[in-house]
Amino acid sequence: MNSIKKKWITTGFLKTLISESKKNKKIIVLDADLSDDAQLYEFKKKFPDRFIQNGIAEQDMVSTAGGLALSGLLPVVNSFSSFLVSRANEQIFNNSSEKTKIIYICLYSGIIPAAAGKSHQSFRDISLLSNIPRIRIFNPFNFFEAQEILKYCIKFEKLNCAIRLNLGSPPNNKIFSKKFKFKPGEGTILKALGNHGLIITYGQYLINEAINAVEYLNKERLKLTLVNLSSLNFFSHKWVKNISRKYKKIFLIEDHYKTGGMSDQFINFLVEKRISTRLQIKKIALNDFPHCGEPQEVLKIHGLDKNSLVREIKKFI
Amino acid sequence: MRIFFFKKKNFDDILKKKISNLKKAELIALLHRVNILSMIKNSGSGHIGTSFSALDLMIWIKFFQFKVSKKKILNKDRHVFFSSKGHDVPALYSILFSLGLISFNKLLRFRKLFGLEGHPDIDTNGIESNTGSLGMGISKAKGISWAKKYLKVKGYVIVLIGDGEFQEGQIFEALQNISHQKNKNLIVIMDHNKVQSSDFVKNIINLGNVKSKIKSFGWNVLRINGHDFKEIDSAFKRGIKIKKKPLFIIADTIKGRGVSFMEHPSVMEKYKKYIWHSGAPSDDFFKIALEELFEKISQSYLKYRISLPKVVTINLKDKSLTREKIIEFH
Repeated sequence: MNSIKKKWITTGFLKTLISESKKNKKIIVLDADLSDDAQLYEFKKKFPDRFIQNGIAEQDMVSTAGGLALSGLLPVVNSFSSFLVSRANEQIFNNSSEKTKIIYICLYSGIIPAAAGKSHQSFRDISLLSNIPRIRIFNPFNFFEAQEILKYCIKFEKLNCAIRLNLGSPPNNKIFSKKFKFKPGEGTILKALGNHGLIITYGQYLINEAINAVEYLNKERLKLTLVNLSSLNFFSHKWVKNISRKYKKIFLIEDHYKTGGMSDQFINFLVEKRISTRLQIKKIALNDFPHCGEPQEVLKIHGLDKNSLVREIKKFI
Repeated sequence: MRIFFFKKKNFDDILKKKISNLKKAELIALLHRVNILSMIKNSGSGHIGTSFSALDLMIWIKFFQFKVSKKKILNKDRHVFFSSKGHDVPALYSILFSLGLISFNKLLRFRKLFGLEGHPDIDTNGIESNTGSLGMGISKAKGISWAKKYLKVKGYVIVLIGDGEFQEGQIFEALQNISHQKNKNLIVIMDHNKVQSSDFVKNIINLGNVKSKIKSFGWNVLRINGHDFKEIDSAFKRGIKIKKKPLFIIADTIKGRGVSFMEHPSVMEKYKKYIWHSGAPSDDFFKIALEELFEKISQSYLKYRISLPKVVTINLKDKSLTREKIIEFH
């Protein structure tokens, strides 16, 4: 395995995919010619008869996966999130209506890397997937969580799973090589400095910006807590109730479009379950098409880099 | 207003007779047309034209060529048949009913709450896939056929598509990929009835030389009359012998086949539009259609010297099964 990519999210995912596939012969991987970015050729090498190269034909690939699932197999469908989830959305919906289980790999989720531009950045997928019944959306924030989430999806989850994977090397912070316990529907506290406010976000890029913001604000005696929420469209009632008791101000941050993302799912959950009305919530998300550029300049222009987050948080607290 | 149904026993009786399969299929098809019309009349909506154009193909598949018995409906080795266009499902429900897979009560709940859905759903016994939104069926059949090979189980995968449906892009992804991926035991049949929702297919988007188009994608293509059981039978037998290429059968059919005033050539001539695409016939049209079908049934039964079947009648106003009566029809 490529040593440069040792602790990438995609590498963790691949390792578990291979180890689980050794045990579970029902796992079949389908790809729309974008397997290199997830290093899925390693899977193909190990299980050539369980890898279907479907060409750049996402709709056909997803319906084919539907046929495999109807036959009792467990298809793992791979493409870039922006193509898979939007172009083949109706096929995903149709498969789901058959009450089978399929795992969708939503590669290259979010707006970073930003060099390819809006055709490739995926910032609508949570919204597009979450209005399909029987599907759970995840976004691991590091190598280890990618392994935990995939293991959970293969072994325990009964519904369809969409696993968003960030592309690129992990940011330079120890937290990305640390193992945290993954519980479906619950967030993990990555930094607990106090209860002036709670930041909820996901994905390696935004977690990194948020950590830097939390650490910076700490010096200014603003004590915040940072939570990684890798379950994006379903939440543990107990967990949400618990955190909403502890914090008055919540920041929901994501590099997804402002409608239909994790924030909206979370806010809807609070309303639906009638959880505390005294919460003050600040949502920070995309308001328009994402820009193309270097990661830091794009995060900055969308108000998602450390400095912008610091500014917004100070204003709100 | 009364609607009429032939029950499973009527079909079983035909199957028991010592006549050829071609003759059996002819009689079975006539009884099904009565059931289909009654189901649609009962629900107030449904697709008559496509059900009638696809019916003969479905009968040959489900009763003779790729039969799946009630016992083997969950068997992994079974032949898997489904329609990708899906709106022809009244025909399939009627067949599944006659094979004992759907109850009579269910048949009377076509398009009603907790009954039989307007388009196929796998919650219904004998339905293999959820379809109705056009274009996905061939791809899904590809997945099932791939799985059969991987799991080393037997059986063909047969999928029916519409000619209007052939305008969907996903079809072409699937055709190209199947010939490349060399899926085995997969048969696609086009119910080529020439008419789609609002006009002739040729006036909406002409399919052109459809045979050479599909051939150029690497398929073994046969073209037959989709209402001639002999041709249907021979196409399957000839087609499945060629193992190197996947099989595509273009079946020329007539939309609304079996009831003269619903058959598309006369309808298009008279109304410039196919008026029986969807929706139930009025009471008057329903009666005329049934009279014609009953007349044909009498003649055919007489021709093959079989005593006439009894038919169940239900008064639509009663809406109660207890009023069901079995009568002789004349």
